[in-house]
Amino acid sequence: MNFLRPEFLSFLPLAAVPIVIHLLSRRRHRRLDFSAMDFLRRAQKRVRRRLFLEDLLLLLLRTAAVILFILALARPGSSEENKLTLDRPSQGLIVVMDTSLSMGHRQDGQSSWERARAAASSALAALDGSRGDQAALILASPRAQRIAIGHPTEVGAACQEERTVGSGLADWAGALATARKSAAELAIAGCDHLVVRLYTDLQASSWEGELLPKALDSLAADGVSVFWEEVGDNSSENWAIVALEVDPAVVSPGESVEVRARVRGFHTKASRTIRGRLFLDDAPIAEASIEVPAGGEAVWSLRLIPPRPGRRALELRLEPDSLAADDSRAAILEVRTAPRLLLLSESPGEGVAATLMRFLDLGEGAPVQTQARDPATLGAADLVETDLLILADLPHLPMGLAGRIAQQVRAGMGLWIVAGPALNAPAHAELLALLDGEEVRIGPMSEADPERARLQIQAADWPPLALFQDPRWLPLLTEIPVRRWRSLDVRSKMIPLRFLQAQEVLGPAAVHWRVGRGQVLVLACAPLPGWNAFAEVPGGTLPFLFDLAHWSATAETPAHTVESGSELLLALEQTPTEILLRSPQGTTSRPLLDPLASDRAGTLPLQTVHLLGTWIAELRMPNTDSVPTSLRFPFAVVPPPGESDLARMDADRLEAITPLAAEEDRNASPLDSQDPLESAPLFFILVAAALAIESMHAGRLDRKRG
Amino acid sequence: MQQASDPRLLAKLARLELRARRAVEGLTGGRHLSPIQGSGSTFAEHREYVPGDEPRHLDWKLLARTDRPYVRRYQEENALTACLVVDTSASMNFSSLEWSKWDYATWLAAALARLLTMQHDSFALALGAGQDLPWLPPGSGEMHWQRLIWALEQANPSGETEPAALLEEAAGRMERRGLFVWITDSLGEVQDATQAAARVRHAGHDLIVLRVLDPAEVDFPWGRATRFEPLESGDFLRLDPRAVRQAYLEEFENHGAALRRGLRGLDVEFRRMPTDEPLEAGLVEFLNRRNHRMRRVGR
Repeated sequence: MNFLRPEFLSFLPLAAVPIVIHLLSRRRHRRLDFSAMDFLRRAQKRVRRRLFLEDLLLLLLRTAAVILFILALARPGSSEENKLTLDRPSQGLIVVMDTSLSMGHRQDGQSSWERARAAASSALAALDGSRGDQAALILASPRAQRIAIGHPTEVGAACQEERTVGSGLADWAGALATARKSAAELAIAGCDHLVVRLYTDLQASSWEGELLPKALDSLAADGVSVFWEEVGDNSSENWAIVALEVDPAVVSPGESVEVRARVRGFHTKASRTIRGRLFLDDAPIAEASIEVPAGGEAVWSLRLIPPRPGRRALELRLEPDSLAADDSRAAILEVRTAPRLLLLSESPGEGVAATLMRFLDLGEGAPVQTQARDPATLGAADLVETDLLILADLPHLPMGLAGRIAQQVRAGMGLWIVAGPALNAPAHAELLALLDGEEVRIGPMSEADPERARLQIQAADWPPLALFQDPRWLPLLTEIPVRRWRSLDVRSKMIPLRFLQAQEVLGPAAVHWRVGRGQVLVLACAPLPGWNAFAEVPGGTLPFLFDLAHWSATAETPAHTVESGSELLLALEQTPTEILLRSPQGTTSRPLLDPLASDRAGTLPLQTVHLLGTWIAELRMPNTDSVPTSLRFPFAVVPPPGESDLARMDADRLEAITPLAAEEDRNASPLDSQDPLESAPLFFILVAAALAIESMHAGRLDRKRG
Repeated sequence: MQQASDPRLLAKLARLELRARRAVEGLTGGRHLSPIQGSGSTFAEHREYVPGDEPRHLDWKLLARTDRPYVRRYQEENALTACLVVDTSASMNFSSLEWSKWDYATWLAAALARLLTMQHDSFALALGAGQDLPWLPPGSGEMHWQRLIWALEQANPSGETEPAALLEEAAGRMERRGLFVWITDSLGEVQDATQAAARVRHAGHDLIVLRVLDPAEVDFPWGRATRFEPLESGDFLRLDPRAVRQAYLEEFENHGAALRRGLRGLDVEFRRMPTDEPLEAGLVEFLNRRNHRMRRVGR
């Protein structure tokens, strides 16, 4: 038997009221000194048994009336499962709710999530905390998490308040592992009968984990009954934005980008024109009308020139259908400012420095802003305001400069070390050591052995070819003996790069690596004017250098796009003093910054992000010379693939993963399948009957006893 | 109209003496003649005339001299000796009215003594519940009556009733055969009472048993749950009086009937005296019995 209002059962002790009144009335006997006690004793002896039975009947009727009245108020039902009887063992109910994106699918004005929450609340309300029942609530979100455990009322309240839904995949394996752990805790807390109830739409994409069968079997092995309740209909058609791409994602001011959206119809039987609107920083910039073929995909694209630098939020919003979460999607477009280049040379008008300045110093409005400076005149603030520092064939470095340069590179500044005839190898060796580049050996030209290279790689795991693996530079690399580069055995030490010697005019050679948030590029020789003659390089040497300068001057930045349910990770050289996360709904949160929680690579987990759309992370940094005090990073949270395809998991697969316990009760009625109110009138009738019999009996006794 | 022997009226009077006089006045005033026909010839004393006295007994000469009415009393009329035995067991303290059974019993005894005094009979008084017997030896006259009043006022009911010992003790102290008046509630065993009565009768005495009962003992009228505390001994009882009333009344009536049967078998006059009824019935019973005895002894 279930009770819709089990809290009324706490009034059951009131059934003792008639007994208490009876006992109190015994205490309230008036006292009378009497003479004919012998007659009274004999009289009492004669009637004692009859009186006892009559009074007992009266007491039972009154007690029964009170009990029945309380039971009627508790609104009893008659569901077969989860019986709540006076002598039943205490129950531990672990509710696991599917919070995957597909649970947001609406039907008949109600989403699958809302149906799941109602059913779970009903199941929790059927428990009786006063009898030792306990409960736990677990969300099978991308990272399964337990929301509450303990008294059923508190867990029920947490269930009612829960709003996390419809953004990612469901981690069923993790959720079931958490359920198993919770079951063990409830068993320790004294629960005799442990039940796990899963509320899910059985969306195929969420139920395809390989660990699921094992997790379910573990629960069954622990003696935990597992039931699932299907709360959604996954046979509906659905249209979704499956991708929103910006190409290129990082552009210079004035440069155009192409925005491409892929819209797909799932289980659609006819083509459909879907209208939408593209927003840039929440301002509409374009209308979209996308003809999506039946069961197919359409690509909509738009070319635009972002108006100002910075990280800009793009969002395409389609007219919503029954699953609205995948009808909008965000992307981030980064528009860079012109990087500030500082070229250090003792003789800017000559040699390598002159060559570089001829390419890079193009005046106001150029894609790069370049200054030349003698190292001896370099001020403390100059490096802070520099995006890319170029050491142009320096014979030596002033005292302390290597340390300052290394500090700025770690903070995000780019560094080119351009070798030339005057380059002083020991001076640069100190700098390279500070920049984790000990394996890079740069030898002077005079000391160069024809058989040895000026750039030497000593470490087996050094990635010298990263630069040249960028496809945009492949044409340039055709001038370099690529085959010979790639044939290098980078696992061996002290391999001579003799084909990179300048005299052989085989082209530029470079090594590149990241240090902190910045990166270092060592160019084996300066670009030569003749490079422009390379027909294979689109645009010649100039755009190549601009690209190289932009690329080198840009500090490593967080990813633009993360999947819903992902854990946001902070990977900064310096830990911010404060982080503020602003969700697409405008709510803000301040993740705790616990340096002890970071991993070996210095990555600090912040929090799991669920809501789809554009998020903004605002970081307040320590007040130092090297880093701005405030950073702002917008990023897009996008749904995981697969959830838009509203398909129920395969029946065979369901058979395979369902353990025996769940299989037996697979078709068990939901807890609220029977209207608990149906039994309440019967109880009220019983109350009336008990009162009527009591009244008749009491009247008869009154008449009989005068 | 309220009778002079109405207990409600008597209860308002402060002194037992006055109560007794009033009771007797009520009895005699109603008849307009003296219930006792004095026939002796030996002058004994003068007594102040009271209503009901035969006018022929008036001493006219004395009336002429003193202008106050006196009647003449003769020695022969004082031949009866009565023994008033009053039960002083604790149960006599029970009361559902303004007066207890004990109060009523003292009124009754005093009134009887008053009658005896008026008729120049002698009387003794035995007070007690058992063997320890406060005893007023037989005597007559106004002063003896005053002693009886004093003795009654001093008595304090307590203890349990042992009727056999009580009456045997009293009978042993009586030098002449006489009339015993046993004023009691007689709530004990019937057998004890009849055995006690039999001893009195075997000793040659007449016996009248005036059973003083409170109306509540007869009707058992209570309705609320009650804790009954025993006046004599035993444990208390918690009861719903309504639940046991019928059984109680049956027990009570059976006891009364058995007592009546037992006493009648001994030729003992038995009268129930509810304390809410006038004393008259008891007094008349006494007088009838006295006359009966006087006739039997041949006077």
